[in-house]
Amino acid sequence: MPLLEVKDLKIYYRTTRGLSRAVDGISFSLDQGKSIGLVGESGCGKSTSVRGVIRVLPRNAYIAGGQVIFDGEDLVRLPESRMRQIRWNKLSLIPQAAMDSLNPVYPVLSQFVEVLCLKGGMKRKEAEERAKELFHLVGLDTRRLSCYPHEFSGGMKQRAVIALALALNPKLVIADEPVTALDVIVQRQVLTELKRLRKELEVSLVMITHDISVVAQTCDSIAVMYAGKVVERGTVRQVLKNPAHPYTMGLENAFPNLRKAQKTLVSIEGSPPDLTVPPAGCCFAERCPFKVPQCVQREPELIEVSPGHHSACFRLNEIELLRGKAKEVEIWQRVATS
Amino acid sequence: MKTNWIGLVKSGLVGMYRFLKQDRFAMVGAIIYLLLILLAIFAPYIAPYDPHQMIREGGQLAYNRLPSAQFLLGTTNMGRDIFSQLVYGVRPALTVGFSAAFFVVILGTLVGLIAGYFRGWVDNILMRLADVVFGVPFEPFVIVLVGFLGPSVWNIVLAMALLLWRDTARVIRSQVLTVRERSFIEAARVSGASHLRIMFVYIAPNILPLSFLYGSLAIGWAILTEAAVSFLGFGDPDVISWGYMLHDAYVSQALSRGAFYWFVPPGVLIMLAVMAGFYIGRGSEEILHPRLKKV
Repeated sequence: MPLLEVKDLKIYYRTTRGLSRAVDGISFSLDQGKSIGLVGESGCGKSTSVRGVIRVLPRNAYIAGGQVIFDGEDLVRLPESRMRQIRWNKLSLIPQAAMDSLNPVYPVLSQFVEVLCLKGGMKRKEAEERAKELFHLVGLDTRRLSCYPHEFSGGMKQRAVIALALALNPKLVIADEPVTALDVIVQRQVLTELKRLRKELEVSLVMITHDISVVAQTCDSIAVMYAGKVVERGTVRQVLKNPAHPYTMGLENAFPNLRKAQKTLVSIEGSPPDLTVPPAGCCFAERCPFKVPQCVQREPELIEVSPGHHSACFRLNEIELLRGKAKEVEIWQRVATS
Repeated sequence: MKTNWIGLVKSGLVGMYRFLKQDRFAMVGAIIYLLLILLAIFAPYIAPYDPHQMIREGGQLAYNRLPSAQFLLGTTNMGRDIFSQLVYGVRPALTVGFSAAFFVVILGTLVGLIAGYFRGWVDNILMRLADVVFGVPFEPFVIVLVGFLGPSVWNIVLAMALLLWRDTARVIRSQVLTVRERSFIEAARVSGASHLRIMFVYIAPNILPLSFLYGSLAIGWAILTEAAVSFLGFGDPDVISWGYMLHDAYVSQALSRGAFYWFVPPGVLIMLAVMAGFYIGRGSEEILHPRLKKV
């Protein structure tokens, strides 16, 4: 049985312009000790979906349907009191802005001790020991525990926040863009650290990012999201090597590749659909260079391309052809002009 | 984080020293306050006479004396020693200043915290109330209140507490609005921390420097207001304050007699006390907004 299974999760925002279907029926699962990356552009519902999983949604958002089975319990239906016991103890979050996540007026140590004592039920002395252990674990000097957050660099703060998330040995860690605010060198350090910790501690990881290379480096499987839906999912190898959805192909074109000589980076023209009035057919149809009439009429379902590799596209039978065509620059530019 | 309050206070004191050392204005302000406080504590030892005492010399009232070795600043028209009055006048000034500042800080911070943290209708009610209070003219209000409740130093403090919280509350609220959106507050909320804990343990220390800034400004305001109200004759008749001295000097024609030794010293002391408050406020403002330094 998988550790985390998200089934048809729907999260809607009440906005002044009506309901916004930020997350519209996404499904994925994650086994114990594995990691999955959620990728997609800004506003595609990555953050919202994991915030739904851990149930820390903004006031105007609500879970409109679906299930989140975590460790045998459906998190969507749990009372808040039980949810509190689960958060941090079994399921923890590395938030998007680590810089903002530590309280600037308390030394880092006391913030660790507070969590360990209040949520972990430790004594002060124990907690201090554990805090040292955690600092050591993420590669920080334990002498810096008594420092205030502003005395840390960005990378150090990020490490401290990761240590804080791991404080109570959770089974699953959700990392919401953990390295976005860091420069590439520190990014690499933190990612390597995260990968090592995951192996050492055997925690599962859900990683959210808009950077495909981050997922390639740290995750086992990947789910590509677009306009509140998962359009393709599979192992990292399957999806990156043989993308089976035009959006994924487009995304890959938009990233530089170290190994292949590439002349230009091609962007996907247009912008995602308005989620208060979702399109009737495929959500990507408007920007898709391979659109057929069927695409705007019906919504495609996730179909298994190869074992464990799913994609939501009507033209899966001619996917090889599309993959070849997607490499051409002109084909993407034509969408914009038409 | 209980134990850390001690650490916080300790590091606060160390920080205070460093802050005073680097900012010359704040240092001057602090020294003025220190001197005034010492003067207030040791007033009975410094003042040669009881400020209320009508001094007689050989059965004669020693009134309107010029400054001399015996009466450092001369005497009033009722034969009271002006220097002693000046020294004792520090006491009501500081009492009013510090207690008004205390209430202003407490009230303003509480209102700001509650309004900013809860938002919605709570915020609306409190801030509209602040708007109303902003419309109340300050000194006339104090005079009317003192007129109703009777002239007393504490009624002046009460009047100031009732009005001056408005500035503090507004600024604190806006600061709370930004702090409450930070991730560590969200983390505290989802971990089940109570509203009180979030407000006072996590948010309050973040906005405390601003409260102190407004507190130090309020000290100056309060001293000035007490002086103004006393000068207008609405002060506590039993308490000799600097404002009372000015009032006394004014009604007894000291001005036309050219008795500068009577009305200039209390004026200078009022100015110094108010100035000291603003200097300290100015210095701490530079800490809050480091960019001011470059200008």
